[in-house]
Amino acid sequence: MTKAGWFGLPALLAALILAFGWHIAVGAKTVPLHVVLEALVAYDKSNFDHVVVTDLRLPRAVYAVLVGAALAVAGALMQGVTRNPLAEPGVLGLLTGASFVVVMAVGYFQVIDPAFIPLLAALGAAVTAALVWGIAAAAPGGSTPLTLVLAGAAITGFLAAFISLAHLLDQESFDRLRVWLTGTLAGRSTDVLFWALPWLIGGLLLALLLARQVTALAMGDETAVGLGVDVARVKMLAMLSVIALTAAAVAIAGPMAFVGLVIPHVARIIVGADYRAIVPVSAVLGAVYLLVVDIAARMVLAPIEVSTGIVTALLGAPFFVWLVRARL
Amino acid sequence: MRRISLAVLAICAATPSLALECGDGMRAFTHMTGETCIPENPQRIVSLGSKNVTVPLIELGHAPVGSQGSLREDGTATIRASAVSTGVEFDNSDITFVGDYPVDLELVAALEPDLIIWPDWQDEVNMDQLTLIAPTIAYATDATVHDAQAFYARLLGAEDELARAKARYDAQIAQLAALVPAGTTVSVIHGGDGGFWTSYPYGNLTLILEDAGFEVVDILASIAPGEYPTFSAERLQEFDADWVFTTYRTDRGQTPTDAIAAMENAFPGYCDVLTACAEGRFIALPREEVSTPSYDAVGAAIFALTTHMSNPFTQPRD
Amino acid sequence: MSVLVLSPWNGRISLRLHRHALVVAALLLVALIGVSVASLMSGSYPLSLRGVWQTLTGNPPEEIAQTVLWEFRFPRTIVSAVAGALFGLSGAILQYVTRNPLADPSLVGVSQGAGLAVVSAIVLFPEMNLVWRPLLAFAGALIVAALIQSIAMQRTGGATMRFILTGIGVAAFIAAITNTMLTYGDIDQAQAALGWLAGSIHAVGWPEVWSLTLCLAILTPGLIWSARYLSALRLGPEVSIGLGVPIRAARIGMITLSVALAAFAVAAVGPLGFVGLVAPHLARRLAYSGVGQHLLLTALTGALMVGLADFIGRIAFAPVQIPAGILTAILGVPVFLLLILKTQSTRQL
Repeated sequence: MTKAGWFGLPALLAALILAFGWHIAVGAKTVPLHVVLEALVAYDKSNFDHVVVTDLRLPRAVYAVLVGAALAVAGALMQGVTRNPLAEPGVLGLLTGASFVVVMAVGYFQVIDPAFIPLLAALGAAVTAALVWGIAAAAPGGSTPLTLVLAGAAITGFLAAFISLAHLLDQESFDRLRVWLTGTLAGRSTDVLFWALPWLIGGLLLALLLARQVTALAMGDETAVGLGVDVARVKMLAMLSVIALTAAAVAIAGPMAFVGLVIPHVARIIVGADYRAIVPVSAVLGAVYLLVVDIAARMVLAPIEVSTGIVTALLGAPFFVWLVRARL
Repeated sequence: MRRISLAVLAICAATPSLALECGDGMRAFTHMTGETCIPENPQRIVSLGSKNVTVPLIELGHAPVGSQGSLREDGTATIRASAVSTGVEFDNSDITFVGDYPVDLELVAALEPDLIIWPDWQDEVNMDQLTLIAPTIAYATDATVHDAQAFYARLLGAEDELARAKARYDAQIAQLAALVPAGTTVSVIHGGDGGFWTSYPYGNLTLILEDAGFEVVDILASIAPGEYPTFSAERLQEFDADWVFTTYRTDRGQTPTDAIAAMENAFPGYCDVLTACAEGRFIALPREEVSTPSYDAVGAAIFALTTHMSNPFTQPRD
Repeated sequence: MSVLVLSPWNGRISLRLHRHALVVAALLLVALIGVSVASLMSGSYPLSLRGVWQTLTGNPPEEIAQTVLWEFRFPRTIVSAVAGALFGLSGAILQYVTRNPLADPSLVGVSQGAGLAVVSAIVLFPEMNLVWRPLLAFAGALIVAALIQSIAMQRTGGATMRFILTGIGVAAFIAAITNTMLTYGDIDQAQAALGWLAGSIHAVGWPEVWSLTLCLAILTPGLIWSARYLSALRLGPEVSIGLGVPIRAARIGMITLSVALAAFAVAAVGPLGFVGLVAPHLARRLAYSGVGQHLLLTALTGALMVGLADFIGRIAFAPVQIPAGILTAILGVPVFLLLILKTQSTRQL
């Protein structure tokens, strides 16, 4: 890891703790700071403020950390492996693919066992990834940022139309997934978290293990081959990691767009081109980012709470536009 | 176009109205968007709203020839709330399913109605188009059971039945009110969308409760009519009251378990921190009975409430 | 071709040169008439071809047939065709001006801009007169188009591809704002706005027919005038300057025209996706032709697409009605993907 990385990590962790603390300190109910601390160190079940902090805000903050980290690392890997600054699970359609399969399974086949949700999401993400890359690679000129983004946009539009159609024909089953489909951290069940966690941890570990080879890959396939990297194998494994991370994030919070786009770029500005630093820094930054976004989602239009996924899109889309302008 | 006609009608309503001249066998009928000539005795009514229009029509003995409905999971259509309040469904009557939202205009036309009743939520079909098929009157979906029943009684000439039903309601309420000490507070809450949603009035439930002498809590009273806000789960305690009610959708085969799961999902362990729940006064009621503009349905709801208020073991402590 | 550029009159004469295109146009017209007749004949109200003919000639078998045919089926058949033509033309012009085969009002956010303007109006000013919708839609679309232009065009080289990607980003941003609006809005108005956003034609009547026809009538001279500039612009800026075309003015004029076409269609039937993208390509594949003829073929193809989408949506699950927007997406995306696979210009990035 670079010097900046070693120096920056404590600062990043401090930022994470700060954001986490801020997240659990604010909400629709005003809870004094010392009560928040009490809730953490001396939990009293009969004190409603304590219950709010530990049973509502704490889990939500944990979801934000996990989903933020997962999506940011997935985005970092995708950008590194494809050398495409616009690559991200949302832009390339993986989030929609994952949620499409979950929605159809829950809506049509009444799959409610939380154990299957991450699996279904992974299936959807994998098929969509294969489709998007297949289309982009087969296009004249190969998989450029443009062909990838267009293929992603096309698949997203296509699947979204089918989700609308299914909703029209069976409101009863699909109504309950309406809010989940906008990407939300509110009212998530801990069962799903339990089943998503193995995918998330597996994906993160794989990402860390691959970091060195991804750094080589990001310099170009030939450079990577020169450095003794098995390009096809690394790409395959990186894709597996991306799919596992996407599946975990979608299972927990639904499709949360643009998180994976913004964070890796910021990470690269901080720590340079080494993915051994980019991956962990992206994870921490992603967590901080989603915590802050979720604070905004809850507070800006209070008492109305906006879906967290809407806020990530509001912030991420202009960043996407800026990237297009600055980097392409 | 509907908005334009609404505006025009609003202007017409504001100016001293000239008596509407209707032809033979027709009469003028005043409704939420103005005055319309309708048949003296409508025989072929098409209802564009199942729960709010079809059910009261069936109850008053004037089953429509066509009705809006919703699709079940198996793809068959159902008249919402009708099975429990009237026993009439698409598959055991001659009522034709005309679509959901929006309805199929042509199917409405094919039924050759002599009157169409358009509830104001059906805003994807406009009244101008419907009027081309048959005289169309608008119905305010958020009307109370009293206003709704008065509307249909006036439409179908059933004022006597209305008076009897209203007297029955008053007697039922008097019986319930006797069980409610002064100053008893109440609220209505639902889990969902990552928080708690409610509305005020909520169907006929808050009407019944207030008629019986309950006082709604401040957070409920602060909601403007027609709004369905979602509150952050952190505000759960503001909903605490002597009695707290939630509802579950019987038309979708739900049970109280579903309502409770939704609460638990929004706030894990909600029952421990909601005093009313911890002490056994958090009650799940079937939604159709408290939200259908039918005195039969409302009577069933009042009886359920009376039963709960009669339970000596769940009374609020001082 | 260079002759064609110089004056619209030469452009018209050149129409005769592409006989194949004329044949295709005739075939498309026949297909469009076929779909329209099928559309007029089918629906939940049973009416035979004979019945349709009798009704059209003033002897309806039943009185209500008159209403069904003249007030429901006729306006929506016309509106879907005209709106489809407008979307197609808008896409074609956008593709010429940006020299980008993938430009589409719904892909780059122009439709979404129009949509946001209308949704804001539905949610914030529910009592607003419908007459203002096209103008609002136009304003919203124009602002978005100007925004994308100013972001994408500041650097030279690769500008066309950046235009598309910028558009996709802007579209996502606008969609997020629209979503916020729907969360914040009153539930009734949100539902009305949602129904409209799905892109549906079931509520149209003669007023929409007249307003769309009026729009088309106003914009047609612009279209004819634009044909000559479009042929110049598609040859590239250097050639255009050589031909004495005031590039900047022409470009702004064309984009405004394209935006107006899309906005008026959006105001009438909601933001139908992918028509503006697919129709021009299908038209080009069906017949090689000059700009003028290509615009004609595109209009016919777009009309056919939306006509079919409305027809299927009305019939497939009756009495449940499927919004045309869902069907244009399902029909359009496979074609879009084929385009990505075939289009040479995706090499530009």
